[in-house]
Amino acid sequence: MALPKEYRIKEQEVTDHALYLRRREFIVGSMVFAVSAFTHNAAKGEQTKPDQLTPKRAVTSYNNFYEFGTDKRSPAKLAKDFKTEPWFVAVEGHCAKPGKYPLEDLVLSQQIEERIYRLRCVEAWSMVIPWKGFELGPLLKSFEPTADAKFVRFETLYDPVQMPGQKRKVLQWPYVEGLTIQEAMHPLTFIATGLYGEDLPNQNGAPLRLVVPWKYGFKSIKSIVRISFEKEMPRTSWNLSAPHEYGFYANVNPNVDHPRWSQATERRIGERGRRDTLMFNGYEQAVAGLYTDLDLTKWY
Amino acid sequence: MISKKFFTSSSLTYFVAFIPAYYLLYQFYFGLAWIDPIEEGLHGFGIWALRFLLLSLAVRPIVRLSHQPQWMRYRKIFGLASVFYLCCHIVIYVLYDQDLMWRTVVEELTTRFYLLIGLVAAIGLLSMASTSNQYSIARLGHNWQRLHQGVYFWASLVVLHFYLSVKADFLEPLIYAAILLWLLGLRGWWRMNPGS
Ligand code: HEM
Repeated sequence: MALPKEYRIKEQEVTDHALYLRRREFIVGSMVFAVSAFTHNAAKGEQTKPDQLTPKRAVTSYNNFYEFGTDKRSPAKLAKDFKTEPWFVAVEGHCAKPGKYPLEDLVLSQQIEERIYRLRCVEAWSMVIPWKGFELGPLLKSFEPTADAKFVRFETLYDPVQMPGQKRKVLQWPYVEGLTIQEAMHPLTFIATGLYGEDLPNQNGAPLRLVVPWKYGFKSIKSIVRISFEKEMPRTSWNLSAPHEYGFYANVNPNVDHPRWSQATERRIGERGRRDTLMFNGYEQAVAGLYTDLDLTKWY
Repeated sequence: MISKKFFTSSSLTYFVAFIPAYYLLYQFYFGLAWIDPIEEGLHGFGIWALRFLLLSLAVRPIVRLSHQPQWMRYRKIFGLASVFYLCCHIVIYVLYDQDLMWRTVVEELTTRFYLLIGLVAAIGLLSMASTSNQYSIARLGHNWQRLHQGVYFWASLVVLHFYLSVKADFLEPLIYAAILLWLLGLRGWWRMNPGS
């Protein structure tokens, strides 16, 4: 998906990739989210390993995107010719401005910025990815959700011809994810339209995907075609597939194991050994307030 | 010229049986496996351990159908190859996945059902491999037969281990389960109808 020129980050038009990587040390602003995690970690007296960007090659060749096969290598191959233009997003449910919006309209009205976030997969591996995109909250507000909008439901494209993984019912298609309205409006919640300063590769969820950095990766739904404001908690794909293993909230939590493996530690892709998994993936200070009344063991 | 004997020799078979291992080890150290040793190493070696185990079980029916008794020795070769892949599977789990944290290895092996099953199967298969030499065969006598008939049981545990390790896509373990069931059925049928 090519964005109109004036909405690209200016510096990236003139920096090549290597320069861009070096430049990352200076983008202090976007690092704030990552940095707050170190201090948190150090405060607990744990060993602190600095976060480093995961190489782009790993970010774009190692993907869980079951619509393009369950093997982590297959999305990069099978999504090569995926067509993301034209792209429409249907907005439905409890809001004043439902409709079918062309992608350009949605993206053009938003402030494009870069955010470096950790991504923690429920399978106990993790990456650090420089996303490009915008906050979800302002976009949602522009649809004027009503008081009945307690949850936001997201849907991925359903197109078995383009998405061969959908030919078998490995999961319930189309893929569905959801957030509470508070989670969706949280300033950390992000819609990515790119990574490493470039347009989002197809295998990473082009042309637009959700990024919720304090939740397990499967919450961050890819290639979104439908957003609906709902009164009831939506049934999400992984939750339907194995309710005792994948909850609706799916907050990163080192103290609540997956039934088949521990979530206390993780493998950072490209790094030797393991590192401790942080509460809410290190974004505890920013998001713990959302869950003060929630039993995180019961609502995993 | 390479003699005909070479093509039927055990050493060639061993060489061929290790081709996936060369590939996996190459991937592991020079390829993309650093991205995630679990995905590349653990799964790759696990799958080939199971494949060679099933191949080993298929030797007897093949010999019977083809009337080529000299092929019988492949049963042992494939069995040992399976155990070699199994050992790599376990080493990668302990060394790369669990980062040599023995306490968590023990904890995981005893608390995760699918790992416990894998461990039991591994012990069974290793006990067979370690008694596959002439000395053990002579010493164990009739008990050797008994020990090695357990292979179907260990193989079922391996398939269960595989099935339980999968998140959503059960097609692959089910295919292996079907192959194993077919081999078991064939064996049972021949037992009941020895003449056929
Ligand atoms: C101490 C014994 C064993 C341990 C610790 C072990 C560990 C594991 C682990 C951690 C996984 C991957 C789970 C995941 O997807 O995250 C796995 C999968 C697997 N293991 Fe084992 N295992 C053991 C024994 C065995 C044996 C005896 C065999 C076969 C002879 C075997 C074959 C497999 C296969 C085929 C898979 C699935 C690979 C795939 O999904 O592609 N394992 N094992």
